[in-house]
Amino acid sequence: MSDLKLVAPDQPTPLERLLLDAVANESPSAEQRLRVRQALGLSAVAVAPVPARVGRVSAVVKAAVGSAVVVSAVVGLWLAGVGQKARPHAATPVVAIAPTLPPHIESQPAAEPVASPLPPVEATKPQGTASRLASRTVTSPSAAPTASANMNDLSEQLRLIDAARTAIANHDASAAAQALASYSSQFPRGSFGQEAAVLRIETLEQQGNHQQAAAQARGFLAKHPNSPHVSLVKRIAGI
Amino acid sequence: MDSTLQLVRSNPAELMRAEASKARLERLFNEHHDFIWRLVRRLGLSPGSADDATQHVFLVAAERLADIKPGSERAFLFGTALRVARSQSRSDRRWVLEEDMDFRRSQAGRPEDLADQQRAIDLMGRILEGMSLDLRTVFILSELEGMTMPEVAALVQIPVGTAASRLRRAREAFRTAVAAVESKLQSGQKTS
Repeated sequence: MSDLKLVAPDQPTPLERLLLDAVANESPSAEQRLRVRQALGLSAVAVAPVPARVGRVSAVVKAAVGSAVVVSAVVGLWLAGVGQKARPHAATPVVAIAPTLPPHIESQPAAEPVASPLPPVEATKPQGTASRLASRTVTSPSAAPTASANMNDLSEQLRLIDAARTAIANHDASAAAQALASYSSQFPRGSFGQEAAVLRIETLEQQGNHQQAAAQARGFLAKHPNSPHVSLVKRIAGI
Repeated sequence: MDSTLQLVRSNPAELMRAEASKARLERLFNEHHDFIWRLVRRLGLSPGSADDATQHVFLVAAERLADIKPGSERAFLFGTALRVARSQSRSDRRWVLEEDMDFRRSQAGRPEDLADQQRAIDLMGRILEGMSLDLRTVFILSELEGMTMPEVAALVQIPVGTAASRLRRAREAFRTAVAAVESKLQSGQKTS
């Protein structure tokens, strides 16, 4: 247990607290969560994020100042104080902080890789995996022109997919076909391409067109052999 | 006839397996998605790249779901995330240190506070990047994720003593780097 005692946290400085807090509070966006859910073929429901267990951070911070309120105040005052005192410098060339890092902790390659908990997986082969997964990878929102336009598109895509799904559940194949046709024409490269294809196969089955459903299912399986929808497609088309 | 109903009749065992896999994937996502995103972000990826890397990790997990032993999901995702982050960070610009990334410009209580937060995150990223991957990983898991030493040791698959030693060195590196920044700030104030 001596090892554990040796790593007991010391009192952090205000800047250390500021940095730890800033990083501890960073989290993925709701849009990102939705994007991964889509890629995994999970329903697009709102999911409450699992927060970081910041007990240690809190312990470090609170041990020093007693409460989160005080932490905020200290950080605010620290920033304000530094900002006010140094404001005349704002127009002058500012020295980048990077060179201030001590030489002995400059960027360096890992001396030894962290032990792998499992045998290497395909992710270690960027080309193969990346290209294979690319067909299932939803485009990064950060690459879109504007976030709001992206979200509007996403909402409309979800609306059409949900409409098709609801229609199928209600045995209204023609309404499902209509929603899927709208989806294809409006979003030929949409984020739910695979989901639309699966629903289309299911619609054909409902319409009694088993032959065409099976043909589309075979096409889907050939194009997306590793899709999370593979077993569902096989089941729907009975192949 | 409803195709799902048809399926239940024709192959109920397969349907149950598929439903179980989907439920497991759902749990995997709910319990670990944000942890993996934070991990790859703190390992040096930009927010956009962290998004892509996280998605990649979960797609790999979805493909290999049957191979992942129950109870070792977190370890699988962690190991995959390390490899993906290491691979992606080679081509990623990582932490952006612009010339204006200086706390001296910040003013509390104004919209610029958001920029302050971003600067703090960028500076922290730079400091983490200055550590070796071994030290950084233990520091992230312990200091930022709040994991205990035995938990860190189990996840990274190293002895507890090694984990504790790495954490000590990581903290020293962190403190040294922050002290250097503070010193720089103080010297800036004196000359103003």
